[in-house]
Amino acid sequence: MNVILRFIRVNAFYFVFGLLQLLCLYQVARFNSYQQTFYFNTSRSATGHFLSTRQSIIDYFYLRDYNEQLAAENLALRQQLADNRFSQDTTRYRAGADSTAPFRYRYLKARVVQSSVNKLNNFITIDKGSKAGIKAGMAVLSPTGIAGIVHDVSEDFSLVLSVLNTKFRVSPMIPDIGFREGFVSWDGKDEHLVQLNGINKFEKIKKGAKVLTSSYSPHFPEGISIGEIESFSIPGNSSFYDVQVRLSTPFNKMHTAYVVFDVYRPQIDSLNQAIIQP
Amino acid sequence: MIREILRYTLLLTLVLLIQLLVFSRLNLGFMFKPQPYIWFLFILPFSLNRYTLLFTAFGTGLIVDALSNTYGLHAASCTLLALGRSFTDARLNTETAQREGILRPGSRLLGFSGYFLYISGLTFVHHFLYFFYEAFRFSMLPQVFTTALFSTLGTIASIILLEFTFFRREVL
Repeated sequence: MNVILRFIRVNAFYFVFGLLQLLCLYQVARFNSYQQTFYFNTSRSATGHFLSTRQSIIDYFYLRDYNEQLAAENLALRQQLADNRFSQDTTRYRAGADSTAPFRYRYLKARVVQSSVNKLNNFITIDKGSKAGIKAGMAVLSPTGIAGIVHDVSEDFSLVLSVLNTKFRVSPMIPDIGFREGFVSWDGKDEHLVQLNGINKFEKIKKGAKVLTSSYSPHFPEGISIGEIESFSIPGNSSFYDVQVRLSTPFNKMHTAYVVFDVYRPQIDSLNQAIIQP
Repeated sequence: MIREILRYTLLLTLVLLIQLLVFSRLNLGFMFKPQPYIWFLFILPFSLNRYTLLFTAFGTGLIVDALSNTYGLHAASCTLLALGRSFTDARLNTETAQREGILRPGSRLLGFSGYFLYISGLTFVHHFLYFFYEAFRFSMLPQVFTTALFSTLGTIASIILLEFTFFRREVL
C-alpha cells in the first residue's frame, strides 16, 4: 500500500497531466460520437454576448455583401411568386400548390454572430435560442441555400452544425436526372466545395446541374438549394462518381440565417420513435 | 510580483486577441492554420512551478476553446505542450542560467538556432495533437501530418515576429 501511495506522490504531476488530458479527450470523444447533446461554449450567454458585440463591428464592413445577398434572395422569391400565383396551368401537378393545405414550414430570421470556415468541424453561432422556440435538430438556411442543423441551444443563442463540418450529412436530389440517393458531405478541404457520394457511373450527370435537398432529409424542407455540380470523375475501378458540388451559400460571408420550424416534425419524430422502440 | 502577473495577463489578452480576431478568421487553405497564441506558453518564466504551468496552459486552451467552438482541442494540446515544457525546463534551467539572470527559455539562453529548434519541436507536438484530435480518425493521419507541418511553419514565423516585437533586447 505504502509503495503505491509513494508511487502516486512521486508521479503526481503526470497523474494531473493524465487527468487533464482525459478530461479533454472525453469532450473530443463525446463530440465524435455525434447524436448526443454535449456541452458547448459559444451557445452560452457570456461568450455569446462577446461574439455578438464583435460581430456587430465586423458586420459594418460587409454591408455591401449583405445587400447583394438580400437582393438575390428577393429575386428568387419574386420568381416563386410568379410561379405560384399567376400560373393558370392547372393540368400539371405542382407540389405545394394546394392552397387548402396548411403551411408546413415557418421561418425565423436570426443574425450570425460567429462562423468559421477554416477548421475541419465548423460551427455557426446565431443570436436566437430557446426563448424563440428553437430546438436541436432544426434546419438552418442562408438567404441562398442550406447552412446547417441546430446542434445546441441556450436561452439567447444557438449553435449550428455547419455544412462545413465533417459530421454533416444531407440527402440530395438532382432534378435533371431524377436522382435521389446518396448523401452530401464535406471533406474538410475547400470551403466552397462539398462532395456528393453515391451516384453510380451509369447516370448521365453534367456540369452545372442543380443539387437540391431531397424529401428524404429528416431536417431540411424539400427543394432547398445545396449548390451546382462543379466537376465529376470516376476514380479507378469504382462504380460511383466522385462529384464536387459548388455550394450556393457563401459561408465565409454569411450574415443572415433562417431557422426552419416544421409543423409536422413532432408527428414524424413520434412515428420514428415507435419504430425504434416498439 | 503583482507587476509580473499584470504584465503576463496583458500579454495573454494580446495573443488571444491576435488569435481570435485575426488567425481564427484567416483562411489560407486547409493545410495552413497557424496558431500563434501558444507563444504565451513559451514566454512563461522558469520560476513558475510545473503545476502552475500545467494549469495555466490548460486554462489558456479552455479560453480559446470557449471562443472558437473547439470542444477541448486547444486545452488538450496546450496541456501536452506544458508537459513538454516541464521536461525542457528541467534541462534548461541550469545554474549557469540562474547565475546570468535568464528568466525564461529564449534565444539569449539557447542561441537563435537552438531557440528555433526548441519552439519548432514543441509547436509541432502541439499542432499534431490538435489536428489529430480534430480529425479523430487514423485514416486521416497523412493529412493531419502535413497540416501540422505547414501550420507549424506559419506559427514559428509569427512567434519569431512576436519575439522581435516584444523582447527585442533579449533577441538581439
